[in-house]
Amino acid sequence: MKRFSRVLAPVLAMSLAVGLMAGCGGGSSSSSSTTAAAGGNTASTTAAAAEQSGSSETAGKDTLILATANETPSVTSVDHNAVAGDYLNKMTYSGLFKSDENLSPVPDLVEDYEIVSDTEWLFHLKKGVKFHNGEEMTAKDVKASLELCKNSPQVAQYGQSTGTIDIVDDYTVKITTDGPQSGLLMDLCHHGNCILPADLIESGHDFNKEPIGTGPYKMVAWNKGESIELEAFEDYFGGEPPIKKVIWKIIPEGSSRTMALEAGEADLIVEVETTDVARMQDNPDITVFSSAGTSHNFMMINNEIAPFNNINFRKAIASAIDKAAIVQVAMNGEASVVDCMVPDCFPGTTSEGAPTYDPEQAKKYLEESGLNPADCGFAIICSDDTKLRAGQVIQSCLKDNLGIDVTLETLDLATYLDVTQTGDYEAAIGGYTSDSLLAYAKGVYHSNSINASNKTRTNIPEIDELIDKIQATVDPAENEKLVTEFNKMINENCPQVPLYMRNNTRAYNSALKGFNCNAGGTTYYEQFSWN
Amino acid sequence: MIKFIIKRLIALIPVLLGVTLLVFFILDLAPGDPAKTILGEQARPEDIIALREQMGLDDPFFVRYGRYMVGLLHGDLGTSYKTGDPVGEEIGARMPDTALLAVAATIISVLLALPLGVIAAIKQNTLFDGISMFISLLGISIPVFWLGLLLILFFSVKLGWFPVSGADQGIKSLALPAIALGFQHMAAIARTTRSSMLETIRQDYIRTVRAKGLPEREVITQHALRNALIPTTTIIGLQIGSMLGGAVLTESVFAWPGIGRYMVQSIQGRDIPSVMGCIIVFAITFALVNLAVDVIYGFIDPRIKAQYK
Repeated sequence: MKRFSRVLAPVLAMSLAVGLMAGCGGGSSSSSSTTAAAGGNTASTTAAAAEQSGSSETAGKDTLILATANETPSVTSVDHNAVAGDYLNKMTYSGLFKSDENLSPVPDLVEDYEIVSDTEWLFHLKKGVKFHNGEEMTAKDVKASLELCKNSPQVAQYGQSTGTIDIVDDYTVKITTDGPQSGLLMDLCHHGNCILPADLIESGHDFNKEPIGTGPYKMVAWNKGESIELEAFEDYFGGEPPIKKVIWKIIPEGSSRTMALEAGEADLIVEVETTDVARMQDNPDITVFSSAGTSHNFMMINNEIAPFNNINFRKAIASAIDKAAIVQVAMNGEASVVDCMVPDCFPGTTSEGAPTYDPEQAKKYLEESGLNPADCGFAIICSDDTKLRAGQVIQSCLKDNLGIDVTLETLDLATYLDVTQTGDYEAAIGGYTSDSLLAYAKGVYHSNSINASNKTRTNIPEIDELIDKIQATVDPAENEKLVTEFNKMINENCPQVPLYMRNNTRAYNSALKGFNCNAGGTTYYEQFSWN
Repeated sequence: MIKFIIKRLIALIPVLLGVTLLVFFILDLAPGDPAKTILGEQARPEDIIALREQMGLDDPFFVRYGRYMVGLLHGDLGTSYKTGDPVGEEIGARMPDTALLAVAATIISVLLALPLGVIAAIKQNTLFDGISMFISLLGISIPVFWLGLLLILFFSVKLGWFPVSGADQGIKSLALPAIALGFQHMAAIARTTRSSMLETIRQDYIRTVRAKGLPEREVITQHALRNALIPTTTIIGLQIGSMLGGAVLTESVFAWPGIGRYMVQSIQGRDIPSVMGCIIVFAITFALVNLAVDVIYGFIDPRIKAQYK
């Protein structure tokens, strides 16, 4: 035994030393924190006081390395609806419109536009805009691209609002919608409606090998599973980007992404590991950006089956769940509590009428439901670790506050999508991200979306009618009033249990200038430069 | 010997048929609609129906399986549901990196494990034995992703000697993932070598060569080790096979663009052609590695070679 201890001691000491060095990863340093209001959302940026030191290290640097968890399935604009692909499309392509920091559509390839009537829109295009192949963009490219979107299943839902597209002249396009479409401009911001050269579309050009658009960057190489390389497009209509080379590096493991940033191998992390945020905030060379996003996360419940077809039962469980605890346990604080049944960041949204955390009120609702908690146990599907942690808090809250037994079921993503879409489930933790209230309302609550994204299977004719009215009301003030009316009604109905709004969190080299990220998570990399 | 190899290669055909049928059947039973997974939950129902039709997902099981096998016989592994690219190209792009990592990790594990196992056996119940077996115990116990993260933290972030991730810096990129993976696999090889050596050095013929006065080094290297290598070779073969298909965690931690990660992503996305492609490649690889192991047995032990007819 003594001999064994002699052997063991140095080895353990060595292991501990390595472990301690690992624990001291961030090092100690001073940091400063600023809070800025942007578009109604509060963005907190924990920045380093090392800009000056950064400037010497980055002198002459013209490359930006982005670390991301996921590889896009496609670099075309129409053959995917993936977030990773959207980020990349925004660099190689441009659309008629793009969303600004307040998530409002602003002209991009369009110089100006006229709303001729409720169903007729005239778009005047910018002149002299060049594609990566040197050709000039004209109205025929716009028509061909918008029609391509309509015919591409992955993005066809964003082509529904564009109706009929007519070429008025080389630089003017007329869109005649099928009835008034308040969501038209937001749909035109979607990557599916990015503008591609008409002749290449007709000739069957492989945009997945060579994406040719009018965006600020051109794709140079796609090393599958490893990286995507881009270079600045010198004839970009917004002016050549200051950073000449951008590399998207695929690093699936969150801690490895953090360490790549710490080691200087990456300049910006797109998906930040929430457990690493505090360590990075202590590092003077790294700035952490965290701001409320549009990702609405909730416990979806199948409203078609008992006990969830009882409105008072739904309100009881919504009032019994401590959402602040979920934000801490599941999201490490990188989210904000939400009671509103829709993302509360859009104009006209309100939490009025939505149940809030109140265990006493929850007991009253349960009493009014007339149900016995012992008969109301259910299973919650959790398809990843974050959802499982949220599920554990819900399980504890419902047991403590209402005496309801909940079981947690872990399923892989594909199975989760299948059972929740077909209604073969009781409850599940899920989320929905959208850049507009209309898209969210249509996707989550319209009866047309049952068996698709309306997973609560909400089927209320008054709600459908209000959503249709929001879609048909182009006037912003009128539209906002309808949104409020709809929002109050859906809050009162409580078809799901909203939990939290996930923050958009990014971490980047403090020497980077021009960082931007709107609530939808869109970043315009052409605005970046090195200090 | 050549006849034996040809026989074994022919025997591969029913194995592959069985593997493809079994995997195709299991994937077919798994819940989840590939069309819905590809188009996302916001897709219109009519688009999902159209895509299902386009992909032939509504055809009966044996029609789909038959179509797949006809393509396979023409060397076509199908088209990825997710990317729309040929699966053969996707696997081809990743296989060299996976093979490189597996070979490097095997070299490291063998170089570490053989001396550890031999020393542990010939110095049984001594300090050396304790140290050797403790190191192999560490190899078995330490999760590879944790070891990987520690290696990155120390050698990449603190010392800056190696890159954190990727495969674009040649041997520098290869070093840490190969060490992490090799260390894990070293343990089993070392323990097998030790027990095999212990058994061998107690054989009568070893006592005889010792009695003849041969130096101990010669007894161990020329007589004992060679006979003890048969089980070790089997373990090394199995380890290479599993590394070629199962280095998912190592590939994820070091962002190594290998085939393991690709297969996991394909399973999650119900990308059936990609999963099938990967499994066929793994099955062939395993069969070829096993064949190589059997051939190597012949070189280690001429008695076995004599049986290869």
